[in-house]
Formats: sequence, C-alpha cells, structure tokens
Amino acid sequence: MSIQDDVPGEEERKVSPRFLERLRRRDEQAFNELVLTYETQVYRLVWRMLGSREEAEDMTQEVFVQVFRSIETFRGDSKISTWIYRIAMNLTRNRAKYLSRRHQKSHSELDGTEPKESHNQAEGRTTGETRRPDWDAMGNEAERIVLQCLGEMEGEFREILILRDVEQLTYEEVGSITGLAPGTVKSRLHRARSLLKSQVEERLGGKVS
Amino acid sequence: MKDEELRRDSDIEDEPQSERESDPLGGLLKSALRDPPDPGRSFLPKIQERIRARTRGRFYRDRWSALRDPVSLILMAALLILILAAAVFLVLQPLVSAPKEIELPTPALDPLVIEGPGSETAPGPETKEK
Repeated sequence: MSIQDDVPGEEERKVSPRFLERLRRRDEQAFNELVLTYETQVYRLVWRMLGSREEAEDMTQEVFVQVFRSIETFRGDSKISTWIYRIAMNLTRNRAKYLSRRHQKSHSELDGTEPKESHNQAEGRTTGETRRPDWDAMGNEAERIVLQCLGEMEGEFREILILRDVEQLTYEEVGSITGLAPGTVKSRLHRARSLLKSQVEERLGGKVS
Repeated sequence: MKDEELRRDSDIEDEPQSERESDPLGGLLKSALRDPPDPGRSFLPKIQERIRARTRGRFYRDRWSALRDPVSLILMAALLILILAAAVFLVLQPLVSAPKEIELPTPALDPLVIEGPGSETAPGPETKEK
C-alpha cells in the first residue's frame, strides 16, 4: 500500500485517506514510507534555508519527529508535502534564530562587547547573520555573491525566495507554508527579488545578466 | 507593514512563467542552491531512534523490548535477581554454617582455699588422698 494508493485520479502527492488513517494510528510501516518519500525534499529545503549540512541533517530528523508527533492535526485538505514543509519551515525559523543569536554572542565575546538584539529579532524575525559554512565554498564568484546576499537578507524574504524561485512551489503552496495570503506572497516576493537584485548588482559592480 | 503589503497585492500581477525562467538572478539563485551535499544515507534509522527515545520505547522498539512487554521484563529481572541471590547463598552457605572449632587451652586449677571463720580447706584431689 502506498501513499497514493487506491485513490484513482487523485492529485499528485495527495495522501490517500487510508494511508492517512494508518499514519494517525501511528503505523510504523506507513510512517517509514512517508519518511522515505519526503526525506530528500525536506533535507534539500532545510539545507537551502540553513546552509549547513550538519544543521540540515539534524533538522530533517527533527522535522519528521514532529510530523510523527502531530500527524493527527493534519486534516488531509492539502498535500501532505505542503504540511511537512510548513513544519520544516517553522522549525528552521526557530533554529535560524537560535543560530543567529549564538553567532552574535560568539562575535560579541570575541569583540568584548555585549550582544545586541537587533530590531528584527525583537519582532521575531531572523536576519541573515547566521554562518552558512557550505555557502562559503560553493559555485562561482557570482553564485557566491548571490548566496552571500541571500544569507544577509531577512528570514521572511529569504524563505519566500527559496520556496518560490528555488523550490518552484505555487503561490498557494508558498502561502500555505508561510501562513501568508497569496497576494502577500506575491508582494513580498517582488520586494525580495528587488532587494536581492540591488544587493547583488552593488557587489558585482554591474547589472546581472 | 501588513496594510502596505495588502495594498501592493492588487498592483502585482501574476508573473508569467517565461519571465521567471528568463530572470537571470533567479537562474543564478537556483543554480547556486541546486545541490545540497549528499547526506549519504537515509535519515530513517536516526528518525526511528529519536522517536523511540522520545516515546520511551513505545514506538520503534528494538528487538529485545519488542519481544517482551514491560511487566514480564520486570518479572524476569526479579527472577534473575532471586536466582543470583540463591546461587550466592549456596556458595557461601558452607562457609557460614560450619564454624571452625577453636580449642582453648584449659589452665590447671589450683586447689581453692577459702579462708574464714568455721571454714574448711576445700578438699582438693591431693588433700582428699591424704
């Protein structure tokens, strides 16, 4: 029995009621299947958000533990992948915040200054001040600059760029994952792209072509 | 900020797919983030391990705990302790129950002389003979 079993014509990746029932009963075989189906996608998304293999591996495991714990809250209206992505995004936000604080603290310890809480953190958002070791050693010069600028963006812009432009999810899916209305997704995406473009062009010293 | 975003919503049209694909920055972003480092193996065993630990063995139990329920496990442990205690007792019992007899030297007693008014010398073995 598979995730899409016995539901002919069902939308791709939408979980079958029978499979969902097995998950709710905490059927270990069903859960194994779920993990094997989505682990790569979750790992990829989390890595793209955190930029560290170690963190991404740990976070991927944590996401599925959370999925296992809260499966009864999934109503089955949307794709299960979207629901899993939402969990991943929430956990990743928290981890990014934690890493950002730790990074600031270690910097201030080196500088001998008090750690300062930024305005964005006070609002519960994350800035890109987290170290992303994998990104420092990737791609060509232009790609590195793009990643550098992406890493320095506010979390809310970064996640929307990744979900839409890299993961290529629809506005509705991005909205469902981030908890934003599709219209807000569009406007935020627009601003995120403009911001990224201007920053990249500033560092490259010319237009991106 | 939310109001500002909502106001902008109506201004922004759905982007055509072709526009997004031809966006050089989007292409650069996608190519920069295309391949995460290969984790090399499935996360499933570690996920199972975490679930097992967090549910205190209720799910994804290992072979030993899956074979036995907690009550029988406790009974078995108790039985094992009893057997161990009995074995220790059997080994140590001969040493405890058969105390070694110690022969104390008996001192040679002198005839006891009790002096006093109207008292007599207690007859000792030698005096009796006399």
